[in-house]
Amino acid sequence: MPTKNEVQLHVLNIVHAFTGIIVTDLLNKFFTTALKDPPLSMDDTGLGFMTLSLRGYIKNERPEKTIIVTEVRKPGLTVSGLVDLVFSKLK
Amino acid sequence: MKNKYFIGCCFIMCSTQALSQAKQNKIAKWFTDHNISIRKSFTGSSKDEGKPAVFFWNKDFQNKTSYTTIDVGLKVAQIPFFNNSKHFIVTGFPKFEWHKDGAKGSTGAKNSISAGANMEVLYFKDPASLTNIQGPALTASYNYKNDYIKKVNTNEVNAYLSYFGEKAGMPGHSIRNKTDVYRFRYYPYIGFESYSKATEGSQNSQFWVARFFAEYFPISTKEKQFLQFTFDYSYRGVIHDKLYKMGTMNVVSAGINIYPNGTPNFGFGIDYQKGYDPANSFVKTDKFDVGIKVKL
Repeated sequence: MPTKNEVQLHVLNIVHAFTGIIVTDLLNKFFTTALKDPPLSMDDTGLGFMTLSLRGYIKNERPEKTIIVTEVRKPGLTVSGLVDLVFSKLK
Repeated sequence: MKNKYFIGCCFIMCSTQALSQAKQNKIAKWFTDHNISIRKSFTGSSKDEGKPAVFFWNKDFQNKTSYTTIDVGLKVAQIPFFNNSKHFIVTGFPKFEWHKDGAKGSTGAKNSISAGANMEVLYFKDPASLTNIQGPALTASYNYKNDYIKKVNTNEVNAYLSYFGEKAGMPGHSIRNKTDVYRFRYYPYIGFESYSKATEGSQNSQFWVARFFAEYFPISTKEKQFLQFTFDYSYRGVIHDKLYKMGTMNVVSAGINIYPNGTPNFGFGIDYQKGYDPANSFVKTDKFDVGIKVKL
């Protein structure tokens, strides 16, 4: 099972791929910013595609687990919250 | 008439400012906790879900009248399907819409309520790739609409295909400034629409549709968005038109939305629309609207 730090790094890399914001800025400046709020301002379509990227990672580690698009699209879900959500799937 | 403009704008600005940030957040949270979303419409494309619901005071130049307008769509819950699929996201939700204006005796008057359902399908060929993020996005919608002005009930079905990609220049890609603040996004669509009278199915119309939507936030900080410009254009080409008998149609609308507290939940704005209004059985309009915007 991956450690929390490993999960965090992987999730941040995925968020970086979908937002263009570098990982260190996601960690240092936007870690408590909601995915749908400024400045990240991700829309539901982007979050839907990102769900599939996260699901692929989760199923690679735990095939019986999954992540649902409504969990990722939930208003108020922060970058930090997303890391915790993915980690909870892998425990 | 000038006094009406002045009084209307003052009321709108004061009423939105009267809601404190905490109050706005509390209201927004209630809707989120109960899985309810409010937008201008849920016709089945991302562009419509990006627009706030509107409560307007209007000036219609085409039909020479002034009136109030309500354009609100309500989405209750979003139901995901195939939650273990590696390549597909599929969701559905029920929705209700109310589109009304107070223009009595004018061709621009409207008052319709509709209920229906939307479906969304996203396809991601290679979700393991973080360098080739792209794929088609399909949305489809069914509505049963009761038009109280024209006294007709219609079944409406539509489907739109768009595309999403995270490379520069692709639809859905977020363009940001040097400090990573989101600024601009666009989506093109192609699709199909079908309208038929509920009691007389032979009276129906089908159109192929080309649409374009873009939004731009010129004034934003790291935490707040104060100003939004929206633009959308739709072109409808006739496949079959026994119901409306309008021929090819297009409609363009542009909007300026101001969010004084920096959150796009409550604000006020100005919208301009010219062309054949799909929310009003394609009545030709040339409208200028000022009013309150709500997006929850």
